Amino acid sequence: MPDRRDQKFQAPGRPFWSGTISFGLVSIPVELVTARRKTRTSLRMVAPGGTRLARKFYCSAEEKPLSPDELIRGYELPTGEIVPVSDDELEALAPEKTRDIDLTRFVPREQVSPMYFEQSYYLIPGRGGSKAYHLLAEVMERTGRVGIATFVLREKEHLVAIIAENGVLSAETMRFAGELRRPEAMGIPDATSSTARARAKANAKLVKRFEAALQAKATSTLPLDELADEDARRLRELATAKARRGEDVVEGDAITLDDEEGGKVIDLMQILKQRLGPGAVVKPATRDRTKTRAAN
Amino acid sequence: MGGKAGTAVTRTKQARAIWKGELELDGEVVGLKLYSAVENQRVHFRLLHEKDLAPVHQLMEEEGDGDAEVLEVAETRRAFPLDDGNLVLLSREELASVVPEKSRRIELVALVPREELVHLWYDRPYFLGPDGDDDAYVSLVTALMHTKRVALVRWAMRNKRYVGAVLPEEGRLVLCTLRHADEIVAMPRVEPSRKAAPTRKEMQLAEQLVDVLVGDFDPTLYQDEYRNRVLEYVEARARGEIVLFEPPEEKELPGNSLEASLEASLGKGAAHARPS
Repeated sequence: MPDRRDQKFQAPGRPFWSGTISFGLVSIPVELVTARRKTRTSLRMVAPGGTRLARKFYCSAEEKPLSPDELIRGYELPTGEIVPVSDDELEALAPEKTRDIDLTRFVPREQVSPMYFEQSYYLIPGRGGSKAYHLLAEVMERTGRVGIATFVLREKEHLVAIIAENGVLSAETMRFAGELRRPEAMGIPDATSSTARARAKANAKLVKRFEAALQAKATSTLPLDELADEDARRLRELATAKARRGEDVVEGDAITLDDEEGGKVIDLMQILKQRLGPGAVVKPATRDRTKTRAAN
Repeated sequence: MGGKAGTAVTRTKQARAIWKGELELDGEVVGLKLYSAVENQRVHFRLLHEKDLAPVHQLMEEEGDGDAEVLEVAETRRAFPLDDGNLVLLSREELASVVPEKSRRIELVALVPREELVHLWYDRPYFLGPDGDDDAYVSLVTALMHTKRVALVRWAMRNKRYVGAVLPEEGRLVLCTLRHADEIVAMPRVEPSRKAAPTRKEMQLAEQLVDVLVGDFDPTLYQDEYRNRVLEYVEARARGEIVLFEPPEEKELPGNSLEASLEASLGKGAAHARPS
């Protein structure tokens, strides 16, 4: 498990959600903490001179720029027809805002393939939930089971696996069955089929050689050095070397577009918070740019 | 860029390999094809102009006084944001110098116990299939199954470096990319307080309750209800139907002591909490 004492891992942040885990009539107050947080610095997209870019919306019919409140979402049907859907309608369709993780089944741990896992969160006990939390964690760990549950987060309903490890519960949101492809669709042979087993027997020498070559690389712990972000390191090295030489450095202007943001609507407050670092207080914009700099 | 979005059409994509690699073990080079294992079924919306329902493009403009000039993506530049708030412009050649060399090599880094890779590490799943030599593939899967461990591998694809875990599942190789160590958050402190330790009775009851809800993992039981509702709704709207929204059901919330709740659950629970 990612140990607090290991410098490689980030410190846990504050809980961003609180609710309960329910199974039967038992209800355990819990809070969610992010378990994974991207720290890679994204490249920004700028104009040739290094100045800011702005994303503008253009109507394809009239070819004129639009403001965000002139926009509406639309859903394209197979027929090609587009049905406009307003924010109010989407909210009405959104799942009921409960704060409950509804646990309906405990399954053997080995039955849940990592192919299902999407986003990870840690669960910590909420007020008054400590005893029940530890009870649940201990029972699950001892019996080698994970809980399958559903819950609503940010207006989406998620399938989630509740996993107990070293006394700590985690929630792993899962992909739905329809979102995973089957290997049969790609014609990949199944090594456990009888024909495959026969072939493996005929190739017993090759199997042994492969096994030996694999075992030659056996280690008892995860080599964390191998899991470093080499791409990010090289990029940062390239950029900082140029900066030291004074090459192509452009004065930052607080807000630039993130290369990877794609079509998302830019959340300015979010960008400001990221740029100013954790713990910064974001005050309403002032004309005086030195104030923004001082907070860096 | 632009209003590129998926549609409701379930594109039965040709399951084509997205990349080909070569894993060398003891002098044998095993050709492998990589397939995406994820079928994106999320609900996608297009952005429209509310007035005439015309699709909307997103374009980039340079900010400044006077007429804003529209830029093509190819005309834009990339900049790295430094910690002091300034930016360093990077040319395409410079960016190309830090990407990994093009290679088909899949390098075996380590063979680790499965428990070492806790669920937090896993990112995106792929399948590895044979590339012309089924026997070599089946032998590889069999060998990996015999080790009862997971193979950590490294490769470069689409100008990026990847690390992943290869595990046998249902007789095939699943390759799951892994997160980077710096993305992982350490476990929070949840040490139990001594005075809140569960009694033996509570422990027994909890075990019984968990037992009642035991079952097998059947992913087909669970559906993306939100997606289904949105699809039903837009189809009904397209047909010109008027849709009424029902007020949500009120959920009962329990509020008793732990032991009482556990016992009550076993009484009531055994009946209606049967794995559905």
